[in-house]
Amino acid sequence: VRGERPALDASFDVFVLGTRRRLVHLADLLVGDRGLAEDFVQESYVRAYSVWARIHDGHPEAYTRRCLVNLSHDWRRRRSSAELPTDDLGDPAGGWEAEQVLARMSVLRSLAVLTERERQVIVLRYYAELSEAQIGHEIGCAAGTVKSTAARALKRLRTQAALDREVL
Amino acid sequence: MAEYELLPFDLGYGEPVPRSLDLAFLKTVGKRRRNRRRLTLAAGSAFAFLVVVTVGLQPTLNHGGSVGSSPAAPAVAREFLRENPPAVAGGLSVLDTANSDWKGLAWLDAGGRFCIFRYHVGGVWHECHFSGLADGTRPSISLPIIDTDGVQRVLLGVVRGPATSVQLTRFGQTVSVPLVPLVTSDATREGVYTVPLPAATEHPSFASSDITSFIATDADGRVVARWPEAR
Repeated sequence: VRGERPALDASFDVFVLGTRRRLVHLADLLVGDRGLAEDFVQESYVRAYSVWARIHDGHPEAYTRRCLVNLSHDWRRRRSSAELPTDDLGDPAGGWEAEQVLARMSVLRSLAVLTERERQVIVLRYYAELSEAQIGHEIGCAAGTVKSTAARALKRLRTQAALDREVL
Repeated sequence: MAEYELLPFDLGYGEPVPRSLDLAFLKTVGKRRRNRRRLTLAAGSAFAFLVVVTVGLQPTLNHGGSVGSSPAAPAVAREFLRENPPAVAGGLSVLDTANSDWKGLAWLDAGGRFCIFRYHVGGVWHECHFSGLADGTRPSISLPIIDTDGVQRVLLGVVRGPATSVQLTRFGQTVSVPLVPLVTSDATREGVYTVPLPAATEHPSFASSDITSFIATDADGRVVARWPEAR
């Protein structure tokens, strides 16, 4: 209906304003590259807008987040398997305080020990604060698998944290 | 949120505001994608309709009723067709009755089985089976399989030979139905008959003994095959 479009557009603007920071941060945690994260968020918003009439009164953030998870997954899959991890953590663009850069670097280094699936689970559980069932729905696996993956990931993160403390 | 074990670090580091986003551009791209998807869907539907009409050897899709088939029917049909492909590529025949509550597709698979995919209000029904036609190429009629699912119970079977219609007597009543030609991989002519059964309230049960005769005739009314066979 023609008259509904401006209202839909307005609700989309509000949605973007209210979710953008959170989604960019989530994407950064998933891919470890700030520029890429912002690009993925933009692409996810485009996808969300293309179906906005259908999703706006449901769970648009969940839809957009799922787009982000899929984009990050596709990006990882496309990367050469021969690629080795480096110290380059996707240098953030301007506007960062030194402490923020260090904090981000520390978090991304910690997450780098996880597999892609473990990383998704940890980020969706502890940053997006989703339940195991919701995470399972977003990444396409059973809640039980999410639980075991999270347990494995936590164990690995704790081991890594203990090693870091020893080094320091 | 459920109680979870704590992470050994905080994921929520501070950060500056993300770089500015061109919302107008983003909407333009989103709109373009939406329109492209609609065009693709419209083209897909038109193509599917064209395929059905083209491959149906007797596409009598001209009655006005809606099919109201199960929304899952296309996916089930694709899967069933993938598992039991027609012996001749695209060799599907459209089954259509005067009753708008159901439609169906029929074909012969590479193993010589007669396959039916029927969709109707509330669900789908599909089956591939050997038709039970007499060996060789001489004209014959198969005894029907019965689909009792859905809103209308139907008898389905195959006739080999140059027949164009079948007269069937069941429950003492004779009905005549046209044959829908099947696509065969050789010069053999085969067709499908579909005969509606009376409502379950009139005849709650049905057995093959309720059919007393089948007669398949050609366009000039000559008998091509009959059951029981004349002695």
